[in-house]
Amino acid sequence: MRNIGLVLRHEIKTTLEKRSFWLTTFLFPLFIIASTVLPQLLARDTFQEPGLDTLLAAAQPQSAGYVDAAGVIAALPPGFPPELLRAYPDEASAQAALAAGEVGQYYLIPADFVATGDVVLVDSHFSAFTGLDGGTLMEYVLNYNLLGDLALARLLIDPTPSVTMQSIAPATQNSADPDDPFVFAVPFAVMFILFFAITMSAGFMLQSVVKEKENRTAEILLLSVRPRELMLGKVLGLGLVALLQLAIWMGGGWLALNQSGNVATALTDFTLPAGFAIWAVLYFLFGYILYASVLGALGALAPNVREGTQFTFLAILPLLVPIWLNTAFTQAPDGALATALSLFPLTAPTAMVTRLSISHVPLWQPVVSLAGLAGTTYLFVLLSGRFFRADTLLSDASLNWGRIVREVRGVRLHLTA
Amino acid sequence: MRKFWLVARHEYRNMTRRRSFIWSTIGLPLLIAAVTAISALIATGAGEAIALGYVDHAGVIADSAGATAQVGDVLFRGFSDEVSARGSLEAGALQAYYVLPADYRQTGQVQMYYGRNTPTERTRQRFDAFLRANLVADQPTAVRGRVDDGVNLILRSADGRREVTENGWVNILLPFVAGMFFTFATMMAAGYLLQAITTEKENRTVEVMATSLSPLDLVGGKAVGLMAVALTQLLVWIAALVVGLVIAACFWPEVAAVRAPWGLLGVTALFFLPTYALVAGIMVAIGGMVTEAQQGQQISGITSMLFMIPLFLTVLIFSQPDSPLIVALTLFPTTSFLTILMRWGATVVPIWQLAVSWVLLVAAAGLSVWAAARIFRIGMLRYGQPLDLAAAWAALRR
Repeated sequence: MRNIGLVLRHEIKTTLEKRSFWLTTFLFPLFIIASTVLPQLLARDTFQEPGLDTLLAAAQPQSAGYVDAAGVIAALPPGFPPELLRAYPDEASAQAALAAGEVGQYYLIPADFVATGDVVLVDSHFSAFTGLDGGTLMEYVLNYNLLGDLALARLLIDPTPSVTMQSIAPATQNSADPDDPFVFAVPFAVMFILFFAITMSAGFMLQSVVKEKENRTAEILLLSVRPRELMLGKVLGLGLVALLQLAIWMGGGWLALNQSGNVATALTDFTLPAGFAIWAVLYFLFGYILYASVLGALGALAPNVREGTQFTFLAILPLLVPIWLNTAFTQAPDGALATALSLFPLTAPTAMVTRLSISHVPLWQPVVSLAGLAGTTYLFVLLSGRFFRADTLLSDASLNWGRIVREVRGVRLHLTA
Repeated sequence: MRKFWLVARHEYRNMTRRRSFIWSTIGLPLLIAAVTAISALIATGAGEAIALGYVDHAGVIADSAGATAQVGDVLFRGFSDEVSARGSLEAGALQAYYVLPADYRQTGQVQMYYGRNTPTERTRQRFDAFLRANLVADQPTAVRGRVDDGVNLILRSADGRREVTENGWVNILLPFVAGMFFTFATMMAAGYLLQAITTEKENRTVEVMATSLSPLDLVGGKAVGLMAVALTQLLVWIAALVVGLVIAACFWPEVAAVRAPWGLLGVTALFFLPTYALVAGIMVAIGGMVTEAQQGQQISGITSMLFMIPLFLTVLIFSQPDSPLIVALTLFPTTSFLTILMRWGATVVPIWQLAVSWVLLVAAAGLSVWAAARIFRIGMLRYGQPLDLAAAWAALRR
């Protein structure tokens, strides 16, 4: 027991003394925010399709020209600012106006417009993504002229310009719009934080084991510490460090959520359910122990860090699946795929917590999934304990598929015997 | 020169016969295809029937109460009053229901009630389309068809070089996907190059090789061999993409609108080689400076970020492709290739930017190869000692 405590203290001390640990803990979230939220903030206004009223009341209207070969436009709708649209008799004069900077763009309405619906928009600042939204004003004018009814022309541009949305569910977590990218950000952030906290701390486990093998410290250590004690001490010590990291990230996220006020009001509408933090910590702890034991076992078998890290990707692959299929969680959090991923023990640590943050999950699901995760974790710890033997820790044999299969088979025989 | 090709052939054979290479070459497109297909199925809600209710006090929808209408995969159900609509929603028969008040036509105001999950944008768009069709139901046929279907906007650049329609999104996304694949292949080949150099330094093979090879033969041969590896990988991926597009064209008409992007291919051919030379030079320099493979990988990881910056600015590149920051990234040698490919679909990249960016890239690539050769030569002579930045600088000035 004393030995476990010693190993635990050593692991905590050496990890906390690493500059890289503190750099990743503080710089990593900044990097994620800088690379995801900033570009969104920069581009936010461009991607929000402005409503008709916003377009009509633009403070600095950009004039557009039009050439109406179909003869549809007889008059502009009442209240339509005349400086927004200027008529030109033919394309040559519209082109000349564009070149002279009188207009920023011009529309060509072909003679067969009513049959085909085609309208060409020639733009001096061509932007394929945002430019295609540029037809709203012209469509409004064309609709007005085709129908002769102002209110109807407006409604056809947007039949539900003002929707009051209300949920009849008893205690809805998120009254906010699920299509708002900023509301997306919370479950996404939860998924990423858990993924990185688990994989990084489990990665520390791999590094710590292999480093001691590589520089032969293991040989000296094994004189006074039993392999199991070494493993347990490392798992617990690094687990505490990982909890600290998680607390910093989650705490920082929570502070940002409360302080975000003016920056993103949508975020403040997003509330996490009661007991969410407890679920998150439980899933994190079991998830961490599970993956730390898998990577620890890899570390015990690998002769050096490079060979060990080659298999890391495969080991953490199950945790990556929910990230790849993140649309399943945002589009249909109670769908079959999201539910299956949140019940399957290897994907549950990230999948279930993400679902809990975005939807009402029936209580039996997190309970059953956590029980499954705990059971699987127990089995993996038992299995990985079998890899922590003096002969594997002192061996220089290289790590490949054949060896992993042989070792697992050997362990299974050993367990059944 | 013979030895140069010998090294190149050795690296190519060695790498393409590795199981990890075969897996990443075949596995990556399969993985992307699988993830995309599953995500697309989820996003489009294939197989998931949507039921929406409505209570129409405004008389917009013909014989509304008790009527049902199936439009695509959405079932619209009319209710005479809110109590019965709410009952259906509570019973789980509906995802949501709308209430159109009597003054809807004047105010445009509607209420929407939903159950546990907020209806997605797509669901709301379906109801909008349903309302639109009902709003124009009493119009003459020709006008009704036009206003219901809306305008089919064709966006054209002022110089006529580019034209996109709403159905042409594949042509917009294709350069972006190509850019990602090219960057991954280039960075992967550069990573292999660094690994090959540092591993041989670490296990001292390089000292034996130096007795019969010049540093140029050694490093140049490796670089060319691994570039051939990257090109092989790209060829497989492009072939997979073409096959994928041909198959997809049978199901989605938008895909059939894809045109062979000759301009894009030309730009790629012009920029790929200097970009690879630039990355390879940087990796060789790193390999020459460090003594352990792991240390080299750590430094190269940070350096790779210099090439990946455009990926983090994807949203900005799509929304404001001509903003000063994006133009600066187009001109900067490490980011130019990826930025140009990503911008290609979104805007018309001016010729002067392409020309200036190419000249700067070629100059940077030349400088990087020259510096790498010097640093590698000095680094090789140092027995087990890492080269710090000051020593590397001194080697360059010598």
